[in-house]
Amino acid sequence: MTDEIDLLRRFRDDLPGPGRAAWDRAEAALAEARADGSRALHRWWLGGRRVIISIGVAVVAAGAAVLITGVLQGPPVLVKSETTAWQPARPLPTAGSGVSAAARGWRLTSYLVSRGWRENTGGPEPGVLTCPTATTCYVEGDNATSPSGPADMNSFFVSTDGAQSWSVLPIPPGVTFTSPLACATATDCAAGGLYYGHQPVYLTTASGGHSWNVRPLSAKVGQVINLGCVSVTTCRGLASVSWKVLSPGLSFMADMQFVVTSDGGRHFAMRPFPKNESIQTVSCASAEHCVAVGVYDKLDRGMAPNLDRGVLLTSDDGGLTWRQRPWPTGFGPGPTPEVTCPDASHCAMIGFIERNGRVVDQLGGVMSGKDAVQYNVIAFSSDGGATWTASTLPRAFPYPMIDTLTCPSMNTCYAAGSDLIAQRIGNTYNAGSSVVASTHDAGHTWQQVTFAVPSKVPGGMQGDSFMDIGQIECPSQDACVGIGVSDQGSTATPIYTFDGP
Amino acid sequence: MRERNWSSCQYLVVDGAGVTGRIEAPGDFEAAYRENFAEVYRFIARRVGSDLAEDLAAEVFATAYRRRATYQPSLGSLRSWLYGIATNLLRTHWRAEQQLLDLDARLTPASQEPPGAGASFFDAADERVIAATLAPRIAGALAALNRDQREVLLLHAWAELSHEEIAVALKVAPGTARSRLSRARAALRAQLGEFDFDHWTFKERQS
Repeated sequence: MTDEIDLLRRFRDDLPGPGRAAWDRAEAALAEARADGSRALHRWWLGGRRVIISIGVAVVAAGAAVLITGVLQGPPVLVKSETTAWQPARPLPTAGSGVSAAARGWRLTSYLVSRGWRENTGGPEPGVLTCPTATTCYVEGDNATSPSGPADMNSFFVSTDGAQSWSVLPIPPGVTFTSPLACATATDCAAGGLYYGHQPVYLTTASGGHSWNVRPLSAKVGQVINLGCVSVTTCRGLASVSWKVLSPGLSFMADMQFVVTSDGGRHFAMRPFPKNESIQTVSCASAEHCVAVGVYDKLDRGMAPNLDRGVLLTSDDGGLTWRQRPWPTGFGPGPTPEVTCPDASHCAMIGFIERNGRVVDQLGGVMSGKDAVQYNVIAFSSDGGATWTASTLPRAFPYPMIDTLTCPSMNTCYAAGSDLIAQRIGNTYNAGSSVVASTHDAGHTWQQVTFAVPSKVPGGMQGDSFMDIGQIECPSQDACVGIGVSDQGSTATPIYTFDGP
Repeated sequence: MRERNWSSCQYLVVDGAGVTGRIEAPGDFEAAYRENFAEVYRFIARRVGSDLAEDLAAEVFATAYRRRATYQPSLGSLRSWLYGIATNLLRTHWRAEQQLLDLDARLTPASQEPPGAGASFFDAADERVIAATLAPRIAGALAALNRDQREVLLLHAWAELSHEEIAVALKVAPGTARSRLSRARAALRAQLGEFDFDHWTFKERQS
């Protein structure tokens, strides 16, 4: 007699085995692992989905290029600073015109569709958004063609009309981004990068990406992961010396240190964090005051860091020394820790709650058991990060998974990500929706915006491009731009804008 | 090599060849990878979908490579060790798994017609019909299990791990694995409700 195990064995039994892409992906990951940990995968968590920055694959690609050219001497090495010639921006077609999904003053405005440039032959452009002003935004694009392979952050887009239309700009050959772009002005920006997948570099532009300076970084600095610029020449952030991921499946990097340059990247000062503490996000609202959040690198169950209790540090001397603060009770740092401080006193961070229980989505899907209930809260501090109070998002925003948080002022913050409001996509459903929550009273009350999937999903997108917002940037209290999370291989990404109620 | 023995619906190891010792040497690890990758990938794909499976399966073996020195054959099979890594990685993707099950549970079966009463269990065409017809119900039943129950059940059904291997994979005592599996099977049966295992159909509820 057959039983329930036999029945289970029929379920999804017709799924094919790994295709070429899966084997290639594994080979790349193994090649990287074999490289003695010095070229570990670096993942960014964008909108709840991992984007793998193409260190490993770039190494493989660089190696292949070397073989093809018959020059068996390794990938190119940048020995000195180089500046690229000024290049014009090339407008992208307005593929998304005529398609809109409005929601309380927000609207889906445009799509990024690449074409033609050498760095962008693959076309898909989900990516990392930076908006230094209400009119100027940049996207570091992911040019990977594989739907699930490593990301290839080697394309660059600019909008100068508040994200309504976009142009593509070339970036220096062989360079991939490893940090979000940080801008001191609309056109003065910097970012961390890799040169041919093996050499950390520091990129700067004074022309909004029309021309770039690429400078090799010392191994002591490491790979720049996170950056903020308070002036054209002074930027601070986090860099990983080892390039190792702290734990597979999460975006945490190991061996992070605080790095500061005050001369446009010519020199960096490095400050390590306390032992066993792996800082993942830092925000410096002034030259002196910084708040840093991370996890303990003692791994839980041997595999993952504890997401329910984090590390909280503050500095009053620009990161030279750090003061340990007690981790607030009631929430953890979660898989996407983020802290942001609009001024030296006021900060907000994404908090994570998980507990045993039962989650039922709108359509009756159930998850129950240990740590089955997971959602984010937003915590606020008004004493420079010393103490925190958690604010729960509205009930109409079920089980929010927040990927991004920005606070243009001490009381106004925008949090974006996904929730468990089901959306109909053709004849089926996605279990989540793109959402933005905003507060104008430091978390006492929240306003919620949920976006619908357009009735006609434009070419190049999939329905699930509308399930999640990966980043939101609000240069002012009433001007925001969000970027949707699309699967790699998608040829377009939704852009959400807000220009006031 | 594994061969499916249809009459008992069990999997029998008919050829014990394979990696059985330590995997620290590059050649040994390579052999272990070649031998197990497809199977581990498929297990992950069945749980969270093919797209995510590419990433996670690659990560399983990259992790295994970095930790290969810690693998002790005396403590359990290589497969149980690899599935342990896979299970840990999958825990961070419970929402993706849940979403996939929810979607499957809402699918309209390709055919509402159950196989005929005389249909042979061994008929491949009927098997596909059965699978298509029952998939939403099975997905719904799996979705209703808690994480521990689902893990142990799928390690047994899809990865074909024994109680002892499941214990190694989950780092629990063998007795715990056995009782957890037993409870999980009972929970699945309860979720399936009126399923007739003789005819592989759901009995109509009496109104």
